[in-house]
Amino acid sequence: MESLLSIENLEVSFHTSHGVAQAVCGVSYDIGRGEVLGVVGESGSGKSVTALSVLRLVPYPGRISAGRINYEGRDLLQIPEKQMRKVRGDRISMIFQEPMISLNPAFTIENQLTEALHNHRKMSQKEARERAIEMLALVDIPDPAKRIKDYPHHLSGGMRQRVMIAEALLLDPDVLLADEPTTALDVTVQAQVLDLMHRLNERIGTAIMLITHNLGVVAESARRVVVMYCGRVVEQGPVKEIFEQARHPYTQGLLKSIPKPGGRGKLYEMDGIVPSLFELPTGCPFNPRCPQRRPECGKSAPPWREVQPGHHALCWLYA
Amino acid sequence: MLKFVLKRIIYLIPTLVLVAALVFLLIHMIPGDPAAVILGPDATAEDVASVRQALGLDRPLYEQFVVWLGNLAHGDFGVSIHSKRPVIDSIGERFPVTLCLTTLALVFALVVALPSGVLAAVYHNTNKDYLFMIGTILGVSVPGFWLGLMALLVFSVQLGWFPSTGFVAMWEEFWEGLRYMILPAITLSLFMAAVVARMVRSSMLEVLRLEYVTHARAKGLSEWKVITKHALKNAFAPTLTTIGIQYGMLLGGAVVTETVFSLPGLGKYLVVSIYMRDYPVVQGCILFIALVYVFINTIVDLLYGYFDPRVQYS
Repeated sequence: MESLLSIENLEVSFHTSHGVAQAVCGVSYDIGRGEVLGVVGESGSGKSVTALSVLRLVPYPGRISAGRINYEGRDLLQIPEKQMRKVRGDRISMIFQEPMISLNPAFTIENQLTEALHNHRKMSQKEARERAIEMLALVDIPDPAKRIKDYPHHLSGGMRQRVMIAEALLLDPDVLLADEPTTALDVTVQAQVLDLMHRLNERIGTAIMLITHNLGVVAESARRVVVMYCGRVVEQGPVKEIFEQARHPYTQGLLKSIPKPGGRGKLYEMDGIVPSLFELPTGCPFNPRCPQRRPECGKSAPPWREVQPGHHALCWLYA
Repeated sequence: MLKFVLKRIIYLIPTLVLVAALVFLLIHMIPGDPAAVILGPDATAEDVASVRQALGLDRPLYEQFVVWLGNLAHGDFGVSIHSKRPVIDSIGERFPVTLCLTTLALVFALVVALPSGVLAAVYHNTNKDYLFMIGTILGVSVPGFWLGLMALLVFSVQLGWFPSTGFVAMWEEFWEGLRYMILPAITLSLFMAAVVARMVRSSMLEVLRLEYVTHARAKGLSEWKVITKHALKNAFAPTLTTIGIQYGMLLGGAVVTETVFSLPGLGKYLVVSIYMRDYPVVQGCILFIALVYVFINTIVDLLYGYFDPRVQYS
């Protein structure tokens, strides 16, 4: 598949009074045109920070210290801020975890939706409103011409996330960065929103980077998966292969921790906890928790190896 | 909305009765007799007694209070002991001066407080922010009367930029009137500017961390738009409450400022009337100021819904 956006050796650190936290450490992955890529990991694994880095919106005191983000022959980390603003919301858009707090409570849906159209396309208010209503209809919001006059607090969580999706797709972007788009929603609504994103992906052709901690969400939606742990990509490959034959012990642990329907007995639990980003263990960051630890794991960083065509893992087991 | 306003007005009544009672008691607790003040030091005890009787001051306190309150209910603020004119007329003459002064002070305070508070939040934890914090601490700690005197000394006496005494009404000659108002209004505004600016800064800091601000940036909006539209409208709601409360401080501060700058406003009138023990005037003025304050805060409550649409008026 043709690569649309590629992240190369991205490093992001947070400089705080407690020291420097390396939130993203040498992350590389790419997303193809029209692809749905799943990015999986626990909180603090660096998946959201990576997405924010793509838009250069890493919050203070975070700083992108190294790496490249290639998009349309340019390095997004190098272009002037003004050009970057033309990319944001137009070519690459983003939706967030909490639709309750990611829409501005002080403005109507119409105001928030048409804003991006005015900003990027200089549309008239009438045109922009028509486009916004059309988009709201596309994300299955009933009676969009009426709903567009509502404030966010008039809508339910699922409806707000639909509004977010509608807004993100208003300008037919190449990439949609979806940061835990279903986490805050009820299970039934989750399925609806995922289904919606899927349909829009097929219809509009927008590539989706689906960031989640939920492997189930990835299994349903993505073709390829990137697994992250402590700011590193530990495994990457086609969904089917990862689910059937995960190579990295962390991915294996994640898969074993998913409750199975009709399953009996105690759920698998990984040893230990995610280490603090201020005090990462030497060598492989997963080594203190790893059931298959070897002597070299605590000494030096593991190699990134292709275990099967298109399937990589960051582990000494495959050195 | 209409129901909300009506409800507010009904709630207002007990507040105002309480204010009226407090004012009445306080002014009568101050030693001194208006009859003695009117007649001067050479008056005989009989003269004083007859004047007291004429003014109704010989009647029991509760009776005087009930009579006054009863008249108030008809909109009758009473008659000045000193000038024999209806209190409401005197208030009507002087209040426009105070209104001009406090409104100008409010405008000055907001013009300074909004941009500086926003900038301090944007440049959080930098030298600009520290400088701002020092400035606001000065603003709240410098006493108004001292600042007024210093301003007069420097800008009127030394530099001669502004008149030091006298008064021209702004509603008669706007620009000339403004010249007389600028120094007092700036002096009066300083405290409010500092308080409001700190409030703007802290609520901006809170809002700037929120996800919808990141979302606004992710749309490709300019930082200017993100801050002035998305962040400021939300941050302004709590600030508005502070402004309403601070308006009361302006009305109180006007008493000092009008005295220092000899402006013929309600504040100065109040001070003179206290010296004269002109009970009806003191009571009327304070009650009127309380009314204005409550009125301003009702407007603030109604405006709140614009900045935060989640507010329901029911």
